[in-house]
Amino acid sequence: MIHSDRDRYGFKKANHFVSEQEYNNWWKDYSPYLSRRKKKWEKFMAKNGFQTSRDNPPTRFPARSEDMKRYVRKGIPAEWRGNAWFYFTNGPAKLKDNIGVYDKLVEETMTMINENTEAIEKDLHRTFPENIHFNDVTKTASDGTTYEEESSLLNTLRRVLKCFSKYRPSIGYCQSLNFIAGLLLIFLDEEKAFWMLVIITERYLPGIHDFNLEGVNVHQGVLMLCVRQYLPEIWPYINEQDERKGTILNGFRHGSKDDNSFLYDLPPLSFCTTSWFMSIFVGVLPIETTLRAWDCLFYEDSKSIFQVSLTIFKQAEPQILELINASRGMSADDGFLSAELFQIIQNFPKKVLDANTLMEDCFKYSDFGKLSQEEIMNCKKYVVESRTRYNELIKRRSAVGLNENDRRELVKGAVVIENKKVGLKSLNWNGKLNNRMRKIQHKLR
Amino acid sequence: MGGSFSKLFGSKSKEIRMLMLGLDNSGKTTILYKLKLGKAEKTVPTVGFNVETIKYKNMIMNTWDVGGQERIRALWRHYFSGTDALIFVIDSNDQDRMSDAKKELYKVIGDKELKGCLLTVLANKQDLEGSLKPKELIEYLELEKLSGHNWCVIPTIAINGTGLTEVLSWISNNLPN
Repeated sequence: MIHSDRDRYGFKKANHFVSEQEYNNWWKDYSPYLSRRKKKWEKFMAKNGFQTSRDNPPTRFPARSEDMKRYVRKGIPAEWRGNAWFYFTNGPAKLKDNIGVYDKLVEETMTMINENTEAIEKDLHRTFPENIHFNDVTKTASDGTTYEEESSLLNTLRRVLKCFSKYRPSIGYCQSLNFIAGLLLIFLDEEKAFWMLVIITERYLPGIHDFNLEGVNVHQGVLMLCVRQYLPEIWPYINEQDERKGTILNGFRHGSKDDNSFLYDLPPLSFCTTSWFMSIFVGVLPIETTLRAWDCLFYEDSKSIFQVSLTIFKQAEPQILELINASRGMSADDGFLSAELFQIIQNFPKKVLDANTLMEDCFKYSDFGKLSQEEIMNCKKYVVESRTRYNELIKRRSAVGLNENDRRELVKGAVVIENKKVGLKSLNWNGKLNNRMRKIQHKLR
Repeated sequence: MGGSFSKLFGSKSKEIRMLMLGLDNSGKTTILYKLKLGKAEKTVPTVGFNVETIKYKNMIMNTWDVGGQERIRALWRHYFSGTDALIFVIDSNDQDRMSDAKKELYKVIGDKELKGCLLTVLANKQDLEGSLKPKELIEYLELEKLSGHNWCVIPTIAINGTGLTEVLSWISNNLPN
C-alpha cells in the first residue's frame, strides 16, 4: 500500500493538510500496530468462546466488559468493523423487527422525485470525490468508444439516502447524512447501512438533522459547557463575543462573565464544531482517526463525541494560546482574532493522523476521560430546559430585548433546575452559577 | 483598522469581511479555494462553513463561505453582521432553481445585519451551455429596482478562475472609506 497514492479504503492519501509522504511515514508504524491489535483481538475472542477465521468475520461479540472497552478504544480490526458496529448498536434486533421494510422502501422510492431526491442528486458525486469507489468509472464499449458509468457504491448511496428521506420525513435529506451513509457503506451492506443510519439519527444524534437543527444547538451548548469546565484557559477566547454583533442579548453576556447565556446565544466559534456533530467527524478528522472515534461512539455512546471534541480542542490549545499571546497588545477589532481562531479550529483536526495519541489523550491522560453518558445526558437536559425557557421568554417579550427584570426572571427560572443538581457529577461545572443562584434566591426571599 | 495582519503586511492594509452565500451546489467553496490556492479542487458539500484569508492588493479579505443547504444556513443568520461585502453566487445554469435563488437573495439582503453592504452577484458556471447571461440575470433578479445596496453582477467560471479577480477588484474599488 505504501506504493499506492490511495489508502486501504480507496481514499487519496494526500490532501491540503497531509502530504503523501506524511501519510506513508505515519502508516509505516500504524500498519504493524493494526496487525498486532488484530492478533490480540483474535486471542480475546477465542478466550471468550468466539470463533474467528479469515473468511468468517465474527457477527457476534463478547459481552460488555472493561476489557472489551479497552479493546474497542484501541481500535476494532477494519475487517470486523461493520459487524462490530452493527452488533454494538443492536442492529440485528432492529433488522429483525423490520424484515422486508427496506426492500419495500427501495421499491417505493425507485421513481420518487421531490426536493429531497433533487438535493441528494446534487450531493452524490460530491460526497467522497477523492474516493475511487464513489466516482464514475470510465468504461469502453464494444465499438471502442468510452463512456462514464456510475460506480455501484454511488448508486447504493443514492438508494439508502432516498429510502431514509422517505422513512424519516421529519429529517428528509440533510447534508452530512451523505457522509455518514457513505462511510457506513464502506463497511456494511446496503440494508444494514440503512438501519445503522436510522439508529444513529434516533439514538446517537437525536434532533441533529431535523429541519430546525435545534439538536445541533443543544449539542453545541453541551460542548460549550464541557469546554468551560475542562479547558478553562481557552474558554474565555472561545466564548469571546463578536463585538460587532448586535443581538438581543447584548449587554446580558457582558454583564456577567460566568453566566450561562452562551447556552442560548451560542458563541460564533461554536459553529466550527457544527460538522463535528452533523457528520460525526467525517471530513473533519482523517479517515482512520474518524473510524477510531466511531468505534468508541458505537460501543460507548454519544459521550465519546464530546470527549473526542474536547481532545481536539486540548491538542489545539498550544496553537490557540500562541495566537492569543501574539495578538496581545494589538487591537483585536476587525474580527481578526476571531477569523484566525476559526481557522485554527477548522484546520487543526484535519491534520490529526495519529489516532493512537488522540485516543490516549482522550481516555488516558485527560480529566474528561471518565465523563459518563449519564453526565452528558444531564447536561443535555439542562441545556434543553435553559433554551426552552429562554425561547419562551423571548417569544413573550418579542424582539424588544431583555431588561434587568427579564434577566432576573430567567435566572429565577433556572433555580429550579439548579436545585436538581444536574451536571457533571465529579466536577462542579456550574458551581459559580449555583452560588450566584443561592444569593439571588436569598435576596428574593 | 489595526489587526495583526495589518502589521504583518504593512500599516496600509485594510481588513474586510466578505460573506459568500448562495444555494447549495452553486460553487461557493470552489470559488473560495480558487481564490485562496489558485486551483480548483473537487469540493464536498459544506456542513457549516469555510473561512479563508485572501490577500488582494492592500486588503486582507476574511472570506466566509457558508454551507448552502437551507437548514444549515439558518444556523448562521445571526452572525452576518459586520459584513463589508456580500458575494452571492448563482448557478446560472440551474434554471429550475432560479426563483429559489432570487427568493434567497432578497431574504438575505433584507436582513438588517447586512444593511448597506456591497453586493456582488456572481453569475457562475458561464461555461455551461444555456447559462443565463449577466444581463438576463439582472433583469430576472430585478436588480435595477434595488436600492440601499451598491451592486454589480459579474460573470464567472469558478473552475478556471474567470471573473474572480474582477470580483475582488470591484469590491476593493467600491468599499466606502
